[in-house]
Amino acid sequence: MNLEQLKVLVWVRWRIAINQLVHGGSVGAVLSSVLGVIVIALSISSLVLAFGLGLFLLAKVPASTLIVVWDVIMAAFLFFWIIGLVTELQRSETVSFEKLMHLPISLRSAFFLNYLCSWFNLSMVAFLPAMLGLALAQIVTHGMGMFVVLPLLASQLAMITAITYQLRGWIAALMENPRKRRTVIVTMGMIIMFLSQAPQLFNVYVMRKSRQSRQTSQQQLQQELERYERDMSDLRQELQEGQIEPAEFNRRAAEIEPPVPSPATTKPPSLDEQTIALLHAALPPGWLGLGVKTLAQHRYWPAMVTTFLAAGVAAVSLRRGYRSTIRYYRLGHMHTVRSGAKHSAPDPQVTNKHDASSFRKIHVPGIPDVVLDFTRIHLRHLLRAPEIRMALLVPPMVVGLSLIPAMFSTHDELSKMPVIYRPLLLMGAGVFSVLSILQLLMNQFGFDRDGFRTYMLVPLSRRNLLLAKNLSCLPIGFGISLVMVSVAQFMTRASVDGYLGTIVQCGSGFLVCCMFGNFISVLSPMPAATRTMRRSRVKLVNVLLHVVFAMTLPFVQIPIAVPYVVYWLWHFYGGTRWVPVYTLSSLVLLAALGAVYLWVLPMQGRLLLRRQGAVLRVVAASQD
Amino acid sequence: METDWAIESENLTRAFGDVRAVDDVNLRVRWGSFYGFLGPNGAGKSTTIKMLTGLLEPTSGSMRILGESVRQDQEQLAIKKRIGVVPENLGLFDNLTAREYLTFVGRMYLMPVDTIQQRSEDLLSVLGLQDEHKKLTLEYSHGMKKKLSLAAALLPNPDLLFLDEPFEGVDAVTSRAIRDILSDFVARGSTVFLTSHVLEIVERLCTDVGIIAHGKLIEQGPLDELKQDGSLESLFLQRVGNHEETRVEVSWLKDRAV
Ligand SMILES: Nc1ncnc2c1ncn2[C@@H]1O[C@H](COP(=O)(O)OP(=O)(O)OP(=O)(O)O)[C@@H](O)[C@H]1O
Ligand SMILES: [Mg+2]
Repeated sequence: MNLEQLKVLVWVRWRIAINQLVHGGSVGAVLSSVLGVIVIALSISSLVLAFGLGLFLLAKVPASTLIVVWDVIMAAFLFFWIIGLVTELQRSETVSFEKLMHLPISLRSAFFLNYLCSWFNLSMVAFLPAMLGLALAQIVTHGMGMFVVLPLLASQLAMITAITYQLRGWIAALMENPRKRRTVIVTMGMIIMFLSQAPQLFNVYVMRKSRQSRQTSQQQLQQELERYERDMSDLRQELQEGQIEPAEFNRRAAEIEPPVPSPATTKPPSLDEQTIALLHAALPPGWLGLGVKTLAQHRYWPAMVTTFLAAGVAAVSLRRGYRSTIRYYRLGHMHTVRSGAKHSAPDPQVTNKHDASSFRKIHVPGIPDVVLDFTRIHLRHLLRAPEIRMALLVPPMVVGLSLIPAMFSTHDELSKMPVIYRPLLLMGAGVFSVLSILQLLMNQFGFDRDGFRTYMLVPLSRRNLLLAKNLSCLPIGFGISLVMVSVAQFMTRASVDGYLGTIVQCGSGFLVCCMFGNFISVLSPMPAATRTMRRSRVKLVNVLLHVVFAMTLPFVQIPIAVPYVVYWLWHFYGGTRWVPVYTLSSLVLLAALGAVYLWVLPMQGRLLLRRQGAVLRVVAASQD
Repeated sequence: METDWAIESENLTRAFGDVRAVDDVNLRVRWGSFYGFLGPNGAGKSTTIKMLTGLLEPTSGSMRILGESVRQDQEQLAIKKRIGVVPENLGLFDNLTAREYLTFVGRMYLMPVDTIQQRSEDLLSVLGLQDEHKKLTLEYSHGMKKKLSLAAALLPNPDLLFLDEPFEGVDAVTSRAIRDILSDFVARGSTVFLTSHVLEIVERLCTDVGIIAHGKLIEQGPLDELKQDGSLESLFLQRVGNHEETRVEVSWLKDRAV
């Protein structure tokens, strides 16, 4: 690695950042610097706060508590880190290898620098100062021996970031290869399902066992109590009837065993120290807690060993990551070649005929054929772009992470849940899936890039252009909704009315998102970097606009709740179950929203007509 | 000089899936020659340049650049230091100014800062970019980007230049300036390997040509020998596909739409 070149690379990144900032307009520059100051202030204060807390609260606590504290911090960090990873997967490098490979630069330095930059993200900014503050506090309270915690912390974070970085490169490379993409998606889905289920399974298993044992011991206790009461009352009766003397009574009363609660009811099952240590040693994220604990007990070697181990893992991971990245670039990523299309010599007439005949299949009354053709072409374009596939993959993953385990965990409660509340759960699933294409709907032109120029030129009214664009998102959004809602239906066993109604509701939600998304897409287009969903060279004003819009979305979606209210009132006041109220009221809402949509669309078309030049300037500019 | 050739490739092949973009190409580029690499669109010119400059790994075959054999498992910094490249996608950074980019490239070649500055001024004024110092590359026109990339390739004063379509989109005045620079460059004994679709320029500049079609090198040698008495255009059309035979009538373009 050449230090000189590394310096220049840092300088280039710096220049790019500055130029982006200055170029983003004065408002953007001011906002970014304000944000920067806030972030710095926050991290400094969290460092100070953690230091103070560590100094005053953790000075005297036993080592076995320290391990818990660090475990919790590590777990929280990992949680946010993994969520961050999902967005990280969509990001591209500022200094892409493609621009460096013909220069006499050691790509190792470039790779290393890119890796270092991966440290700067939100979860790191949030957690690193706090961890550092805590570690420093413990050096003060526990003596200089604790100093080892600093290299341990560094190597731990290096290990986590290196593995993530390697993983990220690996997944990005795999996603480019159409043949492997499916495997990746399936594997990732399974891993995530498993990971999200694992704590749940553990919980269910352990909890059920302990609940069972608690139940049996409680029963025993009850029996003991009854026996005791019986014996005592017998004794008291004997005393009253004069059969025994008070002295005799006292002696015999003392003989009767009072009920003793069995140990299981007083103490939850706990693991002994050795098992805890073993568990921590076996799970790398636990090394930090283990190290701190042993250091507090003035044992140094576990912390040292784990430091070296973590550093070793980081090094190996980086090395492998570097190799695969270089391989990825030098082997040249194939652009998606559809299987079947490659072998046979191109026969233009045949293929053209095929393409042309797949047109004009569906006729929808009220929608011009030209709009449908546009929709079909646009849909193909959407489904082929890897970054869009990726974007579509992410929300179901998040849903899988959050929604499904929640449903499993409350499975017992679910069966007790009144039927009329169950559509709410279905709606939750539906909302999530409509949200998944929101990213697409809110930035409909960003992904067209230079293609937007073509859209500007096509002799299609702007109203119809928007209509076609919305329609092309419909199969994607509706497909996801259908799957998600059906899964939720399978688990909650809502009524048929609830199920059908929710599906109609998804349509309404989609319509609202379309109207909403059209406005944002026209008013605040964002450029999308090539091959990633990351928005590059964005103005901060636009980002803020998007945030504001995203926050108002829930309020815009309020009408969606109306059919449910109708449904609830119907059942609350004892309406018959045989009328599908939910479905009917949802259909009415859908029709109403459809009318609103048709009314709004021409206005949005006119807005697009006025603003399309500005949109083109944003989306079609070349990228870093 | 250990070999006769500045660039030499042995059965160089690159496949994308089942498509062989470059197929068993044996290049021989003489030292100090001005080599024009011609071929129709999609023939494999850019792919070949990418492999020669280390941007892309060959599927099979070997090559020697500037007398040193290229090993795929090494970074080849020594070779890269002696070559300048205008890659197909230009490889510019959008958010840098021309001077910043040239400084970056120069420092990558470990050149002293003063030299970089002085050469940058020269290059930018020759290429007509000297007044654009405030602009970021992303605000450049297509031709301006081409010129900046060329300036970056010339900056380290390399022994060998790889230029992928350097004249495409460049105005007549600058085109003239580039031709003069390249002629001087070759006159002092350095080698240029360029691809171009502008046959007149190639005919005027190049000493040697290679013609590639469907990934196969179908013609290679000194320009004078190859074209004999005809023009380069007739040679190209004759070797790449007969104009008369392959011509397809687009009859409907002859009538105006109603
Ligand atoms: N990354 C890639 N994935 C799949 N096929 C590719 C890739 N890059 C190039 N090809 C194919 O390789 C062949 C040669 O492409 P190349 O870019 O080398 O052509 P070229 O001679 O430079 O054409 P042009 O004159 O248009 O620049 C083409 O058929 C192209 O489709
Ligand atoms: Mg090319």
